Amino acid sequence: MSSRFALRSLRSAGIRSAALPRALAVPSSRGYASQQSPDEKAASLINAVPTSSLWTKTGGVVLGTAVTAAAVSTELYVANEETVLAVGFFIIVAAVGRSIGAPYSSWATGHIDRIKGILNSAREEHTSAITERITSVSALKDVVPLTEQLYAVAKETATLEHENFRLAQESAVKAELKSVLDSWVRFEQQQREAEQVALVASVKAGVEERLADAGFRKQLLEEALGQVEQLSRAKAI
Amino acid sequence: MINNNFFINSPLEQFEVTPFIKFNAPILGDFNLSLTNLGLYALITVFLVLGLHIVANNSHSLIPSKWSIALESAYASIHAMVRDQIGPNNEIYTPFIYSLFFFVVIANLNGNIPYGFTVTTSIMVAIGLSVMIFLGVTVLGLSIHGVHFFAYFIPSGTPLGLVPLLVLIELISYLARAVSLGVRLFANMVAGHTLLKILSTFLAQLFTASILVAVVTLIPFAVFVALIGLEIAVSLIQAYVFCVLTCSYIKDAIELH
Repeated sequence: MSSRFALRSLRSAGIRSAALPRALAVPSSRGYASQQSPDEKAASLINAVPTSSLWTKTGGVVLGTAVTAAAVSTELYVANEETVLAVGFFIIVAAVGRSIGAPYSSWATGHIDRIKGILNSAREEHTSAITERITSVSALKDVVPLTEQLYAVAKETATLEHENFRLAQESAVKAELKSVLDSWVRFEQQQREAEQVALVASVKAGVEERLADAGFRKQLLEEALGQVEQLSRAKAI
Repeated sequence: MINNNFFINSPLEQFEVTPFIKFNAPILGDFNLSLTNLGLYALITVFLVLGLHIVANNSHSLIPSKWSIALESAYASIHAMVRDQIGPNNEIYTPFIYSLFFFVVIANLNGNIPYGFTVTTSIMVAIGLSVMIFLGVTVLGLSIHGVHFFAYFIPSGTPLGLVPLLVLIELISYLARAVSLGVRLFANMVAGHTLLKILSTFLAQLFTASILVAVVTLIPFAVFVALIGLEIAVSLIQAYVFCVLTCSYIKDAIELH
C-alpha cells in the first residue's frame, strides 16, 4: 500500500512539476533580490555542493539526482509519513542548529580563548620566572674561581698568621730572655757594686785599722821618706 | 492500478520489537537468540554515548574543544543536581546518575531521528530500568539502616491505631515507584511519538492530495515542526525528570524522609 501511496504522490508531483519551480521561484528571487545578485546566488549554490572541482560537482549532482530517481521509481525509497517526519525533523534540527550553533560556538570559543589565555599567561609567567632565575643565578657564574681565590687568600692568610704567631712567640721568648739577662746583668752589676762598696769599705776599714796602728804609721812614714830620698837622689823631683 | 483507499498503518507499529537476525537452536529448551530493533538501538545508544565521550575527551588535551565544554557543562549540571537532591556528602552517586542521564537522553534523542526506534518506548526497557533502580535503592536503604529501614513506612507521629493503614498506604506508595518511574518515561515517549506518527500520516496524505492542498498544508506542517521540537524538548526533560526522581529515591533511602 505504501508503494501505491508513493507512486500516487510521485505522479501528482510529476504532473505539476513544471508549475512548482515557477511558483517557488518568484518569492525566492524577490526575497534575495535586495541581498544578493543572481551571479553571487548561483555561485553560492554551486559552492554549496561538496567537492572542489566543477566536474565533480556536476557529476555529484547528476548522480545524486539519478540515484534518487532510481530509488523512488524502483520503490527502494517510498515517500510516506516518515518522509514528512524526516523533513520536519531536519527543519527543526537545522533551525535549532542555526539558532543555538552560532551563539554556542562564540561562547565556547570565548571560553576556550579564556582558558588559552590563562594557560599562555601562566606559561609566560613561568618563562619569565625561569629567565629571572637564570639571570640571578648567572650573577654567580664566577663563584667557583672566586671561591678558589678566596680559599688561596685564606690559606695564605692562615700561613701568614701562623708565621706571625711564630715570630711573635719568638719575639716574646727573646724579650723574656733579654729581660732575664738584663736582670741578671743588673743583678751582677749591683753585686759588683756591692762587692766594690764592701771592698772599699773593707779596704778603708783595713787601712783605717792599719793606720790606727802607730808602728804601721811609722813604718809607712819611713817608707815614704825613703822613697822621697830615693827620688831626690835620682833627681827625679 | 492505483486506488484511492485510505490506508493508515497503526501508529503503534513503530513500537513493535521485531528481530533482524534470529538464531534458534534445539538446545536448552529451544534456545533463541535474536538481534531485534530494540537490541540494535540499545547498542547504538551505548555506542553513541561512548562515542560522544571519546570525541569530547579531546585526546586528553588541556585546552578543551567545543564538545568538551558541552560535556563539562552537562557534567556540572548533573553534579549540581546530585548535590542539590541527594546532598553534598553523597556525591558518590554522581557517576550512576550521570550514566543514567546520558543513556536515557541519548536513547530519547536518538529515537527522534526518523526511521529509527526509540529504546525508551519499550515498556521492558523503561520498567526494567525503574525496577532495577527501585531494587538498588531498596538494597541501599537496607544496607545503610538495616531493619530500621522499615521505619520509612511509618511516618513520625502516627497514632498507633493508624499504623497498619499507613504502613499499607506507604508500602503501596513505595512499591508504586518501581512502576511509576518507568511508566512516566515510557508514556511520555510513546505519546509523543504516536502523536507525531498520526500527524505525519495525515500530513503525508494532505501533501500528496494536490498542489493547492499541499501549499495550504504547509501551515499545519509548521505546527507539526514545532511539535517535533517539543518532542525533542520532552526527550531532554524526561531524561532530566527520570534522573531527578532517581536522586530523590536515593535520598529517601539514605535519609529515611
